[in-house]
Order: sequence, then C-alpha cells, then structure tokens
Amino acid sequence: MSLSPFPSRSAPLGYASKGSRYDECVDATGRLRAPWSGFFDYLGADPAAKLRTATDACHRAIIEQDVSMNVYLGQQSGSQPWPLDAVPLLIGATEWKQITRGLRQRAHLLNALLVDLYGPQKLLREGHLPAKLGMANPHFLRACAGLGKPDGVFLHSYAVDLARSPDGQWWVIEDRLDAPSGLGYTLQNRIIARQSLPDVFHRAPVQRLYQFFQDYRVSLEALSRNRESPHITLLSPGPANETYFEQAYLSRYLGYTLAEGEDLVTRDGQVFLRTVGGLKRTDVLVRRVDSDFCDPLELDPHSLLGVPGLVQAAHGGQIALANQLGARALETPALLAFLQPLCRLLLGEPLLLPSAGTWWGGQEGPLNYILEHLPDLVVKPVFRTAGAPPPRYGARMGKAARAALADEIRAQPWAWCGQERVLHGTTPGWHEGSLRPMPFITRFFLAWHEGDYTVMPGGLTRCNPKGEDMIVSLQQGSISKDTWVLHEGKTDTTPALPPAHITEALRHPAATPSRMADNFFWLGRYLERCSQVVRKLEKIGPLIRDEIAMLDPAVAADTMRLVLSSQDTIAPAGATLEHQTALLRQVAGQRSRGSSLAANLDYLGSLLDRIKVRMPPEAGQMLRQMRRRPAVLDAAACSALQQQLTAFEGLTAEAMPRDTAWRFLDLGRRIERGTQLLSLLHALLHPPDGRPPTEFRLQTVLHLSDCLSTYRSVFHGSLNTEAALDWLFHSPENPRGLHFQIDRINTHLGTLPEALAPQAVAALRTLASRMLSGVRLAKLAELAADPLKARATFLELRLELADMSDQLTQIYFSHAVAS
Amino acid sequence: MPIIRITHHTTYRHGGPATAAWQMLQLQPRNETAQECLDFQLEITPAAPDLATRTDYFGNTHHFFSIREPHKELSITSRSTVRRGQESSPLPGITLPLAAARPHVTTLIREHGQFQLEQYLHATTAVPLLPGTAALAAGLDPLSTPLLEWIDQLGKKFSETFVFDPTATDISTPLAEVLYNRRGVCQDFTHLFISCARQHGLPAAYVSGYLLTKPPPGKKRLLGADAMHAWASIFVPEMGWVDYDPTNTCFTGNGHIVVARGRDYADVSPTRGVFSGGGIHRLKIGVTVEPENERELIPE
Repeated sequence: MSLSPFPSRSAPLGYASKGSRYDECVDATGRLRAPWSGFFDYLGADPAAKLRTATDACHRAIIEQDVSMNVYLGQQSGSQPWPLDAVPLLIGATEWKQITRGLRQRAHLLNALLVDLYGPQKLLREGHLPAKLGMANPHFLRACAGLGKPDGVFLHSYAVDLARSPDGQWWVIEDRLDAPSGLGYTLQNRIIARQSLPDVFHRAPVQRLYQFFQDYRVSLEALSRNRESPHITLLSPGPANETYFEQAYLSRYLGYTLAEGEDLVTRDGQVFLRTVGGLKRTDVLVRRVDSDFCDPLELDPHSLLGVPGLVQAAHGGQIALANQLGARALETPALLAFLQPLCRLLLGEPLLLPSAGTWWGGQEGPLNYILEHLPDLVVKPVFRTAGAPPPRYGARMGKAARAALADEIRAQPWAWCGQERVLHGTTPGWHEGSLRPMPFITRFFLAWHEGDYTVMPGGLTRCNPKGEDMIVSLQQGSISKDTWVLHEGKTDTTPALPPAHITEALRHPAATPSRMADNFFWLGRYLERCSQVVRKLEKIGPLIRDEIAMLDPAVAADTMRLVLSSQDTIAPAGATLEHQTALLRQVAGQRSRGSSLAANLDYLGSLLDRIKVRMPPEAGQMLRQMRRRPAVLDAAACSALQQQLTAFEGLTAEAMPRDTAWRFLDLGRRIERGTQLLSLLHALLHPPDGRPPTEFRLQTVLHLSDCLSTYRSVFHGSLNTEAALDWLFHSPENPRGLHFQIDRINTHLGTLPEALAPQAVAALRTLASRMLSGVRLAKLAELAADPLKARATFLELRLELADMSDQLTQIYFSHAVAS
Repeated sequence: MPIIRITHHTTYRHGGPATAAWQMLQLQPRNETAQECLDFQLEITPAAPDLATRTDYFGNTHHFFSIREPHKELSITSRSTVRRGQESSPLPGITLPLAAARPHVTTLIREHGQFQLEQYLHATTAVPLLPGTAALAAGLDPLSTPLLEWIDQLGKKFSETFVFDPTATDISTPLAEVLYNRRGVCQDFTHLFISCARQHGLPAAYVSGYLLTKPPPGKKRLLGADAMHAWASIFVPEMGWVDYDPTNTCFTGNGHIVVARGRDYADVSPTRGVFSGGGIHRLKIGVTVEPENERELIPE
C-alpha cells in the first residue's frame, strides 16, 4: 500500500490498543501504522458510516449466499450463519515476504519429517526424534508405513495458525497437516469482503488469490499418474461436518466432484466413483476426512466415512492423496520442542518462524521446567486422542488444581507438554457499532507446486470480539476476517476471476454420483408428496362445512377417508367430520408417526440438508423458514407451508441447471404426482354406491388435484365425468394430469445413461412408453361408465409407477442390477 | 526339522445377500530363523479377481481382495506348508534379572537404534495397562531371578490363576473383565501376559499362529490346537525376542507355527472384512494342523 500522506496520524473512531499486546493498527505511542493509515484514507470522511454500510453488506451477502458452519452445541447443534467482520486484517508487502519465507521453510521441513516417519524412519533410529513420539503415537498409522517416498510429496496442502507476540514477532500456534480446513472459507470471505468495501479493496491494492488456486489445481493434477486428464474428487465427511459448507464451496469452485466415502469403491488397486453411469475412475483425492477414518478395512474399523481398501490403493500408487494418509502423527505439540535442531539437521538452516516455547515431559530437564513453571504454561496432552483432556491454563488454576495436575504429569511425564502462553496481538474489528482491538490468529495456506511450496497471499483470520479471552475459536463465538496482503506500490495484474470451467456433472451426465442422484430423486418425491398433503389439508376445511357437504355427503366422507389414510389413520366409527378433521390435524403434526406430514417434512428437510450445497442458495433460506413452522398444522400454518413449498417448486423448476441431478429430481416429482393423482381418482372419482359421480364430486376431484381452474378455462359449461377424465388423465396440456407426468418420465428415462445395466434400462424405458400409450389409448367413456374397470386401471398404473421407482433405485442408486 | 501342513477354513455366512466385500487376511506363516514357509495357497469363493499382498510394518504378510458379486457366503481357505525348527534352547541362567534388563532396554531404544522396541511398551486398545495385570507378577523377584526364569515363573502363576474356558469370552471382551473372571482363552491370556510384562518394563508382543494338532508321542495334546493360537513374545536383552505360551505354560517349541507378530490382536487379526449389505453375519472357522511326511514335499 502506498504510504499515507499523513504518516503520523492517530487512529480514527477513538481506536486505541490494549497496551500489553501488539496491535496491528497503532504503535505503542498510538500512531497509525502504515498499511492502516492508507486504509483509513480510502474509507473517506465518515469511516463509521462506511464501516456500518460494509458490515450490513457483509451480513446480507452471508444470508443471501447461505454461508454457514455447523456448530456442535449438544442439543442445539445446527447450521449457523458464518461470522464475518467487514474489516480485514492488513499485512504489508515487506512483512509478507518474511512470513512466506518462514512458512515455506516450515512446510518443507514438515514434509521431510513425514516422509521419514512413513519411510526410512532414520530420525527415530538415530534418536533425533524421541522414540515415543513415533512409537507411542496413536496417530502414527502403521498401515501407512511405506507411503513416505523420498522423492514424493506427503504434505501437499499445509495450513498453519500464526499469532503475534507482544514484541511484534509472528509465532506458530498450531500446524494443521492432516486434512486442513479453511481454504473454502478464505475464498468466500475474500469474495464477500471485496464486495463490501469495493473501492478500498481496489485502491489498496490487495494481492489476488486467483494465482494460488490456479497453482493448487495444477499441482493436484501433477500428483496423479494419469497425467492426461486426471479426475479429482474432494472426499468429504458429509453434511454433518462443521466445515461442510466450505468443502462444497471449494469443490464447486475448483470443479471437482464432492464425494463421501459411500460414493467411492476400490477395486484392482484403483478408486472409483459410483455414478449413475457406472464406476468412474478417480485419480486424486483431496482429503477432508481425517486419516484414521479413511479406511474401515485397515484403519478405524468403526468409521462410516471411509473407503474400504483405500490404504492398499494408496500403497499401489494408483490413487494420489492430498494429503497422504497419516499426516496427523506430526500434529503433536511435542514436535515443536525439536523443530529447531531438526531444521538444522534436515535443511541445514535455522528455523525462521518460531513456535510457541514448548517443553516435552518425556525429557528430564523439560519435565522439571514444566513442573516448576506450571502457573505460566498451558499444559496439553501430547496426543490429541478422542478421550484426551483439553489444554489446561496454569494461570487460571487454583493451587490445589495445579498440584493435582502436577501429580498427573509426574505419573506419566511423556504424555504431557507445557507450552508458553503467547499473548495474541490485536487487530481492529467492527463490533456493536465501534472499532475495537481484538486478539486474533490467522491461518495461512500453502500448497506444493513444482518442487516448492506456494503460499496463498491471504488467510483466514479469526478474532475474539470480546477482546479478552485468549481462546480464539469459531466454535465458541469468534468471528472471521478476510486477510489482505498488500502490493508494494504496483497494482495487481492477475485477473480478478478465474476462467470458467463447466463442471464435470453437467459435461458428463454419467459423472453424477449415485448417492446424489438418489437424494435428488427423493427430494422430488417428498417435495411433491408434502405439497399434495398440505393442499388437501388446506382444502378439507371448507369441504366439510355443512352447506357444502350437504350437496353430496359421501364426497366429504370419501375425501376424509383418503386424506386420513395418507396419514396412516382410520377414523373411529361414528366420528363426525369435525372430529375427523381435528384428528387429521393432530396426526399430521406428529413427527414420530412415520407417514405423517410432519415426518415427511422432516425427511424433506434432512434431504435438503444433504444436497442444499448443490442447489441455489435460496434453498437454505427456504429450509430454515420451513423448519420454523408451528407444531399444530392448522389452516393458517398449512397455507404458509403451501406458499413455501410452491416457492420451492418454482426454485427447482426455474433456478437449477437441467443436469442429470435435476432429471432425477423431476423424475421423483413426476412419479409422485402421478401416484397421488391415481390414488385420488381411485378413492374419489366413482362413489361407492356405483351411481354416476355427481357434479360436486367431480368438482372436488378437480379441486383436490389442483386442476379445477385450468379445467374451467379449457372446458366450458357443466362438468361431466368424461371431460374431467380427459383433463386429468388424457390431456397432454395439463401439467398436473397423468399424461403430462408419464410423458416427462419417458423423456427423462430416454436421456439417462445405460452403461450400468443396459438390459434393465431398456426394460424400464419400455415400461414407460407402454404406460404412455396406455394412457393415450385409454377409453375414457369406459372409465367414466364402469367404476370397477376404472379402479382396476388406476391401481394398475399406480403399481407400475411404484415398480418404476424400485427399478430406478436398483439400477442407478444401489447398482444392484448385474450388467 | 518337522514339516507341518496347515489348512484354515473361514466362512462368513450373511443374513441377506452382500453386494460387495473387501477383505484383509493375515494367514501366511512368517519366515523366521526357526521357521520357513515353503508353500502358501489361498482359495476364495466367490472369485476374488484382485488378490494382492503387502508386507506390513511388523514384517507380516497381508492379503487383500474384493468380491464384486452379490453373495450370501464368503469362504476363504488357506493351505500352508511350513518347515519348523526348534529355537536354540534358552539357558535361563545366563540372562539378566528384570531390574537390570529394564535400563538396558531404555538404552537400546535411545542409543542403539532399537526404537521399535518402544511400541511394545505401551498400552494399545486391546492391551490396557491395568494395575491388576501388573500385580500378576507380585512376589516374583526382579533383582536376582534371571529374566527367562522370571518369565517362566510368571507363566506358572498364570496357570494357577486362570482357567481355560472357551465359553467365557469373545474377541470383544475387555481385558479387565477377563482379569476379574479369571477365565478365558489363549488370546486373553496373551493380552494379560503382555499387559503385565509391559508394565514391568519389558517389550512384549502378541503372536498369532498355529499349534500342531497331534501331539508328539507321549506328550499330551496342547490347548487351542483346533483354532488359531496366540502367545506372547518378550524381548530379553542380549538374547532377543523369546516366545512364551502362557496358555500352555511353556516356551514355544517346534509345534508352534508363527503367522504374524504385532502389538496386540488388532495388529494381527487373521481376517478383517467390510461388507456392503448382507446384514448380520456368522463366522465359522476350522483349522487342521498336521505333520507332513517330508519326502512327499521334496521334488525328486
């Protein structure tokens, strides 16, 4: 950033540092530091107003784009809006050069350590690394021994948290080696922050992230043996993971398939994606599942997140992993005590970035130091296993608690580390209408690229808005910031946006993962099912009112029976229609009842949770709205739900690309709509007494199937059975009629891939076209006049639709049909 | 040098059809100073087209394969032919006592590159270091008893304390429960023995293997011969690893065939599998171990 014309101003908005800590914005005398001086210049005459506007813009963007994180809070767990402060962290160009040198050195060092640990183990053999740190380390995965190749890259992607100590030095707080998170959030933060303070961003000028991601992509492709056109998959732990949003975001940005363990299979030493077009080989896994959970066959056998056979495939070298399996072994804080000498030994140079001072209890001298300095140290277990105790802050413990801790340490000294507390530096953040100094840490990202590590010029900064706590954790109320690395004078010439790639899923219909297709199919079915039930619940009130029910009492009773049976309930004998309505509303609201509307809505919600990242961002907002529905589904609640579901249908119809996933969604919708219509016709068209349907009955059938107004606009004059059937059954123009549904089903089936099971797919297509001609050729006069014939026809068609749904599942989702 | 022939059948029977399966086996006997695996054959039904092998961190041989066709039953048969010699008979008198052995081990780990011994000193999932297992060596003399004799005495205490009872435990029974009930099988006794030895500073490993079904003339039939057997291996400074069978209260002899060595059962489990579908399965195992007429094996 260019130097400010007013080099020795004090900070605006009454901003002042906290004294004891290093502050990014002002020096010890309260004068602005250079990058911030420029920043405030660009903010203009009324910085408070500008920051308020930027904050609002930030929040709006978060909600609109549905940026979220999952928070673990026991019962209250769930998706929360991503916390982002509009004020970025600024890092000057000169300082950045120093940081990157240190970061790159550290990445090389850690990679060399991992290669040795999972390779020759020379460092353990020669005693440069204590035996316990390898051999008693639960994260050293023996099944992965041999994956460390001297010329290979074990650590492809590396993330590291840094903080500033009071003397202004950057310190390493923690290394993230196994499956580092934050890359996607950093990218998302950048896009939002840039839009929130556009003129400041451009004038600064800020180094772009684009080139890093370009290099990242190239280096992942280079990991693969299949250099021609490697297929890359992001292996995710799934929607319940706290950072699922960014995994989905990143995979979309990079154009990689987002998959879970279930989506992948190993055979012949290779890894394949289960798609609706068959098994598709994948060459590189960007791994976001912790190593231990990656292979139930060789690693944690209880893991449901892994791919059986993955470790063996990794040994064979047909699949490249970023990062290689087992990297977590070196996430132990004890390693920090040995990095300085290891760096000299392996790289022949001093360690550039210091780590927080660390003492490992496995050595006598350091053990004594820990025991003597407990009040000044953070005591951490050497390995962070599932049941391990949390870090304990000596300063916050009473005398008795410290004595107890000392006993614990003495009982098994090697299991503990003492670490000095780094008093985190502060940086300005906008909180509750004012600019405050907030303690922060920043996660920086590196990736292997052509023989070296490249550093992303940016990072994920997290700070504590209360400004007191030394713990900075997004899970505990901290907020994130974009990190602006400034250019030296010149402006950035790299393009602002990467060139567009069309994603795999759209380009190759066969590349749609089977599980995703399955979820979209059922989303279509449940969406339609819920909206049909809601519509009927909404319409049943007026229908049973005396003056209307009097027109044909059997119609109200038949309708009620149909709707009750859709909720798996039968009315007690002799119950009045009012009683039955009350019963209906009660059972429809019971979530524990498998087929109730409430249970269906819950299931719809859980399906949406699984796939909302692949839908327009409004889907997430709609889902939140739908979840706020009242417990009792009265007419008002149903009407609100009806609107939400209709809006959702509109979203799926108009805001989604017509890719294979969408075709499965529409197939689900059409099969369900056809099924519901046939059930309605079966139950209601012909009265039980065999007499011809009354006009009121026909009107009710049309009304409940949402076809009454369209019917009236097409057919003039009075209602008759044949005309009604024509509109509901025959007419290709009625989007709620049967012909329309089957026609759509036919079209979709014709475009789906055949490779999985050519014969079964052909049989399925034959079934659909036979149904279509059956519907076209049906003799309406006969169906209108002969109730038995009509019911048999409706039932048969319904069973054929059910069969179709089963066949789709067997072929495309379960891969259970032999090809 | 007897030649021994082992046939090991494993059958998984599923409640419903499994659509696919992945398996990892550790069934092939090791090659060691006192043992040579002359032949090893695997038969798998349904067919396993991608059979592969890998040597693991402990030097054991693993076999990997997947089944792609729907099946209700998976059967695995391994046939091994092993030439087994007698390890040089330990001379208990010349070994160090426990108290001197312990610092020796520490020095070997720290200064002589034997860092791998360290992994046999720690708790693993199957071998927690319980105070109760350490106490099994109470009353033994660490100061003057030579280590091999100490091990033998510990084994004798085991035989007085524990009862062999195949109905008392299964693979998942926690060690504390075995200790409390004092009943179990070879795997349990081995875990107890290891847990005790580790707490006294001795690197202790788990060995899976086979026992000759037919005892030599005049000797009684050993326990655990109709299934896979397990025993402990203790690191004795200046001597090396010494195998001890706590179930039969003896140092191992030429009827013990070593298949795999590790820190506990989990490191050496003979079959480990993941199935897609299939519901609950039942596992059936049959092992036959018999001496072979040597002439039949050697080609002319």
